[in-house]
Amino acid sequence: MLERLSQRIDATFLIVILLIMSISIITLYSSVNSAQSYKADLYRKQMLWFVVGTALMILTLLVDYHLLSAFSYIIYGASIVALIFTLIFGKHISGSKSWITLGPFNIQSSELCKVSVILLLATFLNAKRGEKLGFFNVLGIVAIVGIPLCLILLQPDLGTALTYLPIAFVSMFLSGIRFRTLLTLFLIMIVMAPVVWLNLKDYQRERIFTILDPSRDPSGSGYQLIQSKIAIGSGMLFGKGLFSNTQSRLDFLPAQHTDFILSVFGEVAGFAGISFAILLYAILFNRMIDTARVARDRLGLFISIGVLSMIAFQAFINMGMVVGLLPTIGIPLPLLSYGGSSVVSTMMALGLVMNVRMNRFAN
Amino acid sequence: MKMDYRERKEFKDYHEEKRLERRILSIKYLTISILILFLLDFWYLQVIRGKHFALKAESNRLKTVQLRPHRGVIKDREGKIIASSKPSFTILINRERGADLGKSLERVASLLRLDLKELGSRLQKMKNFTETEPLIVKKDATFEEVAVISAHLDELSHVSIQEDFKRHYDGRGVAHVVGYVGEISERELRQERETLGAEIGMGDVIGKSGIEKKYDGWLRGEKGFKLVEVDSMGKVIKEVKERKAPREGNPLFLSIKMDLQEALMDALNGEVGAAVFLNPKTGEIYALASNPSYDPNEFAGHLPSARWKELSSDPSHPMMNRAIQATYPPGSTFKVLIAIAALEKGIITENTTFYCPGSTIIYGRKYSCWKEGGHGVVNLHRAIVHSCNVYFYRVGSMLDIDDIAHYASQFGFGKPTRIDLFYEVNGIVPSSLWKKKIYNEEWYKGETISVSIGQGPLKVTPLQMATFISAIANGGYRITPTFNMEMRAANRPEKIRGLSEETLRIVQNALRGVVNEGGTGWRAKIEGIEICGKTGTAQLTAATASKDTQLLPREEKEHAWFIGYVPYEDPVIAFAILIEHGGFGGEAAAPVAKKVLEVFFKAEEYKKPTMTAHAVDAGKNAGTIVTEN
Repeated sequence: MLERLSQRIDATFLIVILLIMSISIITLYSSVNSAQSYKADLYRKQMLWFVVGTALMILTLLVDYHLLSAFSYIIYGASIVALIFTLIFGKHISGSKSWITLGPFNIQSSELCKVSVILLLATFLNAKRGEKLGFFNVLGIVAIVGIPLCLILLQPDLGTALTYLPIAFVSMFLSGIRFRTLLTLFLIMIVMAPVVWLNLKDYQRERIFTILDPSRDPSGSGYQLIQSKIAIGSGMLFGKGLFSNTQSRLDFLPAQHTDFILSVFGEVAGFAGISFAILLYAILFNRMIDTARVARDRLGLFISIGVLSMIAFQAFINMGMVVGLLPTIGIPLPLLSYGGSSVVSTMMALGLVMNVRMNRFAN
Repeated sequence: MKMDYRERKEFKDYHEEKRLERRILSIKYLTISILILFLLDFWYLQVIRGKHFALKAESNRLKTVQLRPHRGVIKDREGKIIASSKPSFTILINRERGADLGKSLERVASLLRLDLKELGSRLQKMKNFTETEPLIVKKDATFEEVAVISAHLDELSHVSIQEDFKRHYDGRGVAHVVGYVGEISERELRQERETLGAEIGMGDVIGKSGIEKKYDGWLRGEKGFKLVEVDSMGKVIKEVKERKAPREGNPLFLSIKMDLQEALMDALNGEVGAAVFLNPKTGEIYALASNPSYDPNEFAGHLPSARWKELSSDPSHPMMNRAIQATYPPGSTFKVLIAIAALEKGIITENTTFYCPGSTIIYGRKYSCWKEGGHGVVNLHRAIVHSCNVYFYRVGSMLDIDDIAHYASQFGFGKPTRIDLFYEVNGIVPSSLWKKKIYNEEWYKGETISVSIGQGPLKVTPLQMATFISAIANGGYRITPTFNMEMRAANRPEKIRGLSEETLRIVQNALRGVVNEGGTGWRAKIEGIEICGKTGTAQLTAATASKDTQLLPREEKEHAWFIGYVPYEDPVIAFAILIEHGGFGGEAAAPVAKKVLEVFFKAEEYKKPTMTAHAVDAGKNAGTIVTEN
């Protein structure tokens, strides 16, 4: 079994993942400042998460995805229970109840749930093979994505909730949707928009305003953006080098180890480094798309594209956020940002894709 | 044709697969396009705008901390410290980072037991200033307050303690001389940027009055700076090498003798008034007092606006330096000037006599002498010694007002003495031209009569009076009074033109008689020292002239004057004393002179009749003064 694994596992995936992980560790290490002890062992913890993530990735790899698909309803159900459990017993961290404590770890159930949604959605769409999606099918997709999304909105964690949307939309786009249905969905969204707007927290609205005019709040959410740009920009072509990234080391840049880690890396490694990181993501995304194309069946295709839409969407939102194109809504950069749950869910999702690729020739 | 079910299904699937392929490709191109878009964005930020952000990052990280210089110490002529800078601590809040400022504010307020509301509103007001300007939480914090804050500095991310200097004044009654310092106001900053220099900025301490203001540039020193690397909360991480040490302000030696100054304050004994003691040859001021006074130390810290209002609206005007800012009629002290004018004009001689029956009628009006029974036949000497009004009425009636005005301005009346203090007033020397200008009226001869005994529109400051009597003491040189001993050499006394030595001798001799021949100044007499002086009793209204002043309410009482110099032979000190509503000059002001002079001569170990070594020195430095013996 391990022999088959070593023969079939995709080296490109492994190398890219390893390189992104390295960037993450180096960047975290370089933002440590002797005066601020809370950051001191972040890189070590992140290494630990990578080990845990890799283990789970391999675990996901080993079981044929068809078998996982067969159990997708159960996995999904368990995830929903976890979300409800989080809502009731969750731990409050910076204003939202998104975490459950398991021993020494804080686990974000909304992150882990993504993988189960991708799996169930792929299973569901695979069964609708060859049909154009009608209203009820769409309703099914809306339900699969909508239930966890609503539960996450209740926490409230707008950023994570948003990452569920592209999974649904891209899947629908792929499996073909009637124009009428698309129109109906759009109408519903337009009607819902003011409701969502009214339910946004003041600070969330403020963030959207700030994106339109960063000078509006130079000490609040605009401050992050300004500092992020200064950090990235001052990296110039080749960066300031390790431990010379003053903007992040001296804490000018908030959330630098999570949402703004790319800004730190931009300061350390400059445009050359950023280009390399973007290239790595490009290779990773391309490999997932390629996996979808060579997948043995539609289930594999939907799983691959589902994972792609989840990871790529987060990457795009995060990049857009650090350069100031999009509002700062708190979405991590997959594999680069510090954070156990995000690392683990991303690695498991990639495990699924690698699973699909590994089994593309199987009968 | 193979039209079976499988084939058709495959056919259908073929199209479906093609469509799927196209969709996957479109996702691929979209993904790559987005990544390229971001790449371009980073290119713009890091390569095109890189320099701009690099500069911003530097200024973000490095902060220039100003190092305030010690303000120069002010000492008296013997080296006693009058004003010095003592270390003090200022607790402030960095406003550069908004995030948890409120929390820090709350914590500081509770630690220092300050009013959070007030702090909050002050913070609100600071919104108009640049973010680098910190909010001053507590100026001149006590040691305990500093200790409490230091202990909690880790959790108080915005708070820092800055070492500062606070001005401290020693000695009583020096407020009107040294003045005080304070934080520069916005208005001052705008108006005086050029004179103060570009280095001055908000929050800086400058001299606001007195010597502190006059010699501000000398005392201020130069600011230094250091570069520090700070974190986002403004907390200093480390000091960068570049720094410039501040240059301490220059020390300033004043001509003041603190022991004399304090003796003068004692002698005034709380009376409202002013007095100046100075070297009649060099103009160096030994003591200058104005009562009531204030404590300049109050201004060194934060003076509450209520206290400021209280001080500035006090009807006794403690903030006014009466020696240079208040004017009074000179009263009989002016008779000395009238005598000089008359002698020089040849209207009288030393031997000219008049009969004083207690009053006289001139131009159909009766003018009274202060002595009801009259002085009998008086010559000039006796007229000065006993301050006979009638004698001077008669002399005045023969003098032209413009001649009086000429001599008055020769002696420095009617214009500032150019002492090294701000806000000195002119006083008034009436003349026919003056009256034309002010009232557009002709001068009446009758008005000259009251001017000849120092009344009428005539107004002088105590300091002008001191320079006047100095000129008589030093043989006819107009001096510029000063506190700055460095300026002594540059300060060349000017010879008063048209003043003969004979006239001076007559007047000097008479002034000696005022104290030593049982004249009006007898109360100033000190055994073994020949004091020369002239009393003055400045009437406030003509009506009080003949009344028993002892019975008058205080505010209607005359102002008491006593001016003079010591000793007769080669004077070393001259003075002018004014007590507001003190009554007779001989009664209220002369004893003050005596008390101060006793201290002066005890300290100087005065040996009659030779001059002290110190006085010889002073005379030599003054350059042109030829002492008369």
